[in-house]
Amino acid sequence: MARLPADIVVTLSDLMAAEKSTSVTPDWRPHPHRADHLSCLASLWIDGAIRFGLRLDLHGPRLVRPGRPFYGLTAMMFAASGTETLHLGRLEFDPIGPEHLHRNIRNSAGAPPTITGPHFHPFTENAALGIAALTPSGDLPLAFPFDRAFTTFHDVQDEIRARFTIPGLWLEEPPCSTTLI
Amino acid sequence: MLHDADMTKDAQLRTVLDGVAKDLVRVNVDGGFGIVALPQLYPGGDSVTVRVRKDDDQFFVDDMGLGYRSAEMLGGPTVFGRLAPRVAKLHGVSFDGVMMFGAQVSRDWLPNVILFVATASRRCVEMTAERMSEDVEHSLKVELQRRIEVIYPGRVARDVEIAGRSSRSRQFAVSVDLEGRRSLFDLVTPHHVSINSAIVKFQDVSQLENAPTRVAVLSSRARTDAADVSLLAQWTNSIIGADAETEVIARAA
Repeated sequence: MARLPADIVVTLSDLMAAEKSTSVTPDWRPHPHRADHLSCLASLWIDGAIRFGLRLDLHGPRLVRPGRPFYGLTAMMFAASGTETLHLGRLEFDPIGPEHLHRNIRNSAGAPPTITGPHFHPFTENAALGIAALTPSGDLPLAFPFDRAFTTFHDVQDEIRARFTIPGLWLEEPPCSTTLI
Repeated sequence: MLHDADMTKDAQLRTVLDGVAKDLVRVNVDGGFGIVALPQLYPGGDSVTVRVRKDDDQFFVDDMGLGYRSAEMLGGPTVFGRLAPRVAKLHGVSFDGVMMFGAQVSRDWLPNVILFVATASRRCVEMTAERMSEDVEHSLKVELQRRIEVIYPGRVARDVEIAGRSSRSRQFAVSVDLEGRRSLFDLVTPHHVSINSAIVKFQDVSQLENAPTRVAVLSSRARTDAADVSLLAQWTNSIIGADAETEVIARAA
């Protein structure tokens, strides 16, 4: 992490709080590394510029289970500088696996010890643990359950807009959420 | 028996390939003119087609001005007209201001001349499209340089060369000197060559001691692929659009 500025967390906090936008409606494409998944990538602009490589990255399986339209759907925000990538937030709308269990091991922010359903990994509480928590190996260890249910893709989109401060975000509904197996 | 079976297989394959050849090259004759549509496309997607006329025992082959018309559709007939004589000469054919053609062609040379006229016509339209894209890129770069000079009068150098960590010289559209630190701006188009070149040069200078501030200026925010922007963002301090407001440019520096 030597190449990152010393005040990186403060800078990232400012970026997280700032209103962001996309220049186009991002489209769903085959996932570059997982044949059975789709992904959607958008660079995020703040006041006419992209800084720290800020980007929104969504992915989900091509096929979902009946009654679970957002099965595996995940929205993530990243920053990048040189070879360093930082995780700024992750929203897991319906984690894959019937026994998916997230454990909040380093819990200093009042999060429940374990979570089994939809949950999110926020920036602020994880950044408070130190910059290592934001690295790929740190992987945002703290998570909290959502305080709402997601019935339609509009609900999902609203949550992404609010959590990542992208009020004008518009996404096409992922093909996976309309395909039942 | 095996020999007969092989011959049957060969005959079947020949029939298939004869059919394929007919699919690839379409021919029609009407009113004394032969029309040959070749398996080549102009940048706009139209098929490259030539016309053949028989004069006694010689032939006249031309592109019916289709290359010129394709260039007109691109908005570049003047550029086409400027490039065409050289392209025609390169392919051993002629240009009369509108059409590529080959005159007094013998039967033996007819297939070659049909191919030469078609290729010259297509290639000239392709070069017109490339040249027009370069013209747009050049105009955008000059406009960017002018705008930054207005923001930072007397501190701007145009088309500067900076040696990167690799020791190779990298060219940037604009360098701004700001009290002991330097900002580099470079224009990036959605074309993969431009993206790759920009990534390499920004990466190289980002690894210098006291690395300069690096700003990529996208000629088209909407047409630049998000994955490319993401890569570019790793080696730049900020990315802005060529249409960015003055305050955005100033902040980026």
